Amino acid sequence: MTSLLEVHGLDVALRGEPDRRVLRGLSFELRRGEILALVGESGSGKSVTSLAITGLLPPALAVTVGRVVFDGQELTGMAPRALRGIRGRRIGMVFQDPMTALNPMFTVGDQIGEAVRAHEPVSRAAARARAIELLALVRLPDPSHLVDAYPARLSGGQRQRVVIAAAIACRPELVIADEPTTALDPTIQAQIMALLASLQAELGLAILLITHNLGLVAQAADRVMVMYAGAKVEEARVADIFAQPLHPYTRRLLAATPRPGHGHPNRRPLEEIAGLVPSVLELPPGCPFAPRCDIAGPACTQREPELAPYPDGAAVACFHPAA
Amino acid sequence: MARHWSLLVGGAILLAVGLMAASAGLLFPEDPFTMVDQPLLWPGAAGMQLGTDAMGRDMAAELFHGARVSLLIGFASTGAAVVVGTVVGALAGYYRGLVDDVLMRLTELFQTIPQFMLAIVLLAIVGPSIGTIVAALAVVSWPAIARLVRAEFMVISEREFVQSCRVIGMSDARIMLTQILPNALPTVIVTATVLVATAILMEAGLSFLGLSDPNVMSWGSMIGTGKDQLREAWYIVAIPGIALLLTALGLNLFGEGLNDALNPRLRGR
Amino acid sequence: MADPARSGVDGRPWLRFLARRLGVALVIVVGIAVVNFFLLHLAPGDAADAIAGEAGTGDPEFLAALRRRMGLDQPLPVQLGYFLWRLASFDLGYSHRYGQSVASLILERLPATLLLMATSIALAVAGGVALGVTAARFAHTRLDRAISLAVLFLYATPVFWVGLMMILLFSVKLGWLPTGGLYDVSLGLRGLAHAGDVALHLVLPALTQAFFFLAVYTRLVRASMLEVLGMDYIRFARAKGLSEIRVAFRHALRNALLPLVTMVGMNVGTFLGGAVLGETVFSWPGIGRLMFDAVFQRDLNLLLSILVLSSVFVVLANLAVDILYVVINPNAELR
Repeated sequence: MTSLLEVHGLDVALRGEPDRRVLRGLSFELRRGEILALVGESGSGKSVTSLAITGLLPPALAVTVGRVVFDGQELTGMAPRALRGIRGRRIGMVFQDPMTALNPMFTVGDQIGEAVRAHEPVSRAAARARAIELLALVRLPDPSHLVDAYPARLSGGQRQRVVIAAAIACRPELVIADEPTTALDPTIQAQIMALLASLQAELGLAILLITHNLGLVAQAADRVMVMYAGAKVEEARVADIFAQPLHPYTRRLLAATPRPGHGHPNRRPLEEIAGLVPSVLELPPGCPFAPRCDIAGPACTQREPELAPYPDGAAVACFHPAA
Repeated sequence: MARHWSLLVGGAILLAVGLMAASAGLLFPEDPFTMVDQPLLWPGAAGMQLGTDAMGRDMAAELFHGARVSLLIGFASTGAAVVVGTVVGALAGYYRGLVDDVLMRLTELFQTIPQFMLAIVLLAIVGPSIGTIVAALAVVSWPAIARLVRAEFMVISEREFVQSCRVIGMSDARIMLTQILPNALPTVIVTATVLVATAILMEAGLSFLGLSDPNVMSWGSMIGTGKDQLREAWYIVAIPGIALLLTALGLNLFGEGLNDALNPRLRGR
Repeated sequence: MADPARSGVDGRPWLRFLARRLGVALVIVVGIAVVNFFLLHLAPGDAADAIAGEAGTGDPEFLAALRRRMGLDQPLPVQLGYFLWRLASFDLGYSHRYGQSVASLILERLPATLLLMATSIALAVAGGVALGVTAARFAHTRLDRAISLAVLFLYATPVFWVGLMMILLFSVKLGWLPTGGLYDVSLGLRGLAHAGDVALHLVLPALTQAFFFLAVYTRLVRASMLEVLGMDYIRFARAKGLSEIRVAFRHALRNALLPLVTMVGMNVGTFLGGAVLGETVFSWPGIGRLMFDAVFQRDLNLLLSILVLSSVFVVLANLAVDILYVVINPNAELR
């Protein structure tokens, strides 16, 4: 299987200050049809990753080092016009808050239709027809009437489906979903994830799923990447990582995740991870997780551990990984 | 330093104009209406730094005395408008309900009638003098302040510290004066500063049309009488106009600077 | 929750909305008339003196007849009733000086003012949008600061003075444009050529009137755009691969225009007030100029008539703006 997306040593820093990095040397691969989850707390750099890939970084940030390669084409340093051709057409994006992602002044059909017309020379009528098809594809009721509705009339879950419809409008090969369910109710969350899973199967999508919710990861993803303080600290297949997390941070994350049905008689309390996520711009020397790590040793505060490869495509950046 | 440049530049301009007004009596003790030399002398000629107008009057004297009138009318009318507007707005914003409805209809009514036209009509009826001009401009300007104060009072009266004052039984008047008003003041002051500029420009417009106090010299009336000499002696129109522009500019800059200083949340827009 | 599939314009709420708005408008117009009535009585002497006024008819019989006709011997509320009735039937009195009824006099001059006002507003809005969008796009750069500085000057400049200066530069010194008036009578032009002549005469007055509002609208559009450009739906639009231009004009501007529409409505009264000065400077034959003449001639009746009519116009303009706002913004409630 060929890689659809390759990220090599990506650094993102404050514009004009290349030493103040928010993303530090990130590398990963995503294969066609694969679902890769990107997990981390806020401040880990996961959202910045998605924006950096598609060239949507805010003016305050810029890519300083590294390459992003999509289907053999280098996206970093690509001319804006060419990048726009890829954005939306071959890479779709779903954002976190469906309540604000849609422009309140235009109908649902308009906003899906414009995603189509941005890349294909179709008439407005044809775009509208496509929008109706897409609304049906994302399992929204009564698509031929819904297409003329304004976003204000829709619930959060319905709006997120519209956002997804616009994201897949041109049958992209990759969908980047940045916290697609965080702003939704738990029952709706499950529905949206199920939708994404079925769309992935139907359309053969690759999905980069960015989330802080390990529960979602367990359900949906093939592989997982854990990020901390702007860098990747562990990567593995989902089954492997849940069975045997290697990095102390991953272990703590799993312990802090509420999981149903585990150990009723002796319910374990949710274990917190003591301390706060460090500001990625002011990291202490050594491993960024060391201050909060329960098994930190002397080496951990001197040098930052590098990613060491493990079988089955896994990797860990730790001096004392659980063996 | 650079951040407060509006405040500084604006303040400097206002200071200059203020000095002009204050020193008018000292530097030009004679009545500015008296003829001092040949008419239509260009600035610089025959020792007249700013020249003479069509009646042979000293432009410099007119300019300095005019500063007095502009500042006086501008500040007095705005002050009156602020007082009236604040009272109306405070009552409407605090009590709401019927009081608010009635007061707001009244405000709306005044805002529907074109401001400048109303001022013209009022002055045409009662005759222009410094007092009536101040009154007319105040009548025309208070609705804007009332609206603003009402909005502020509505927001601030919802805040917890006001609620707790009510709970401990503080009288309404006391709450409005000591609790709410001080919080609303920064916004009012900033708006009032810009309003002074508007009042000065309106007074100039009225004077231009002939509705100025016939006993005092005003920048607007200088322009009004000077417009017939536009072709040849255009400095008669240019000089007071520039003075007006600079004064209004200074006030606006000062107001902006005040806004940045008093409302730091809004900075960085 | 309401059926999401039903959207668009529904008949009944619109009728209710219009009826409510018209009702409010009517109340305000009556309020204006009452204010006028009291202004009339504010003048020294009685109302008949004021109306007969400068016509110089100290003729006691005429005055007595006028007093009877105006019902000045009746109690105040009855007088008010007469006044409102006359107003409703557009009876504003007769002007001896101009030799026609005041109503027809005003109606004659109105088109010139409307032409000037419409052109000014159009210029101010177009310029405001262009400058505001540019300033927002290049926010916090030198271009933005330059625009802000220029806007500050425009805002502080006295309209009538800049008009005179423009005449000085463009008419007297450069000779490019005429010094005043609506058109050149001596040329005897017709049809398209005549329209062209009017257009030429329109340039300076419309531009002058537009300056102040250009400043206001530029600031407003800039602020709105900056607020809108930070919104999530802008980021989403970009993520779909739309071009920057499309994002700016279709998505951002549409939302940013709403406060502008409201603002223009609020400014109609100020435009009319400014017209008095502008038309005087440029000898433009509209109702602003008429008002100036009325001040000069101490014709109180004419003054008040113009005031009433202008206020009514403002009410109508506000009504139009309210309707426009609801049309543009599909999320607005039809209150």
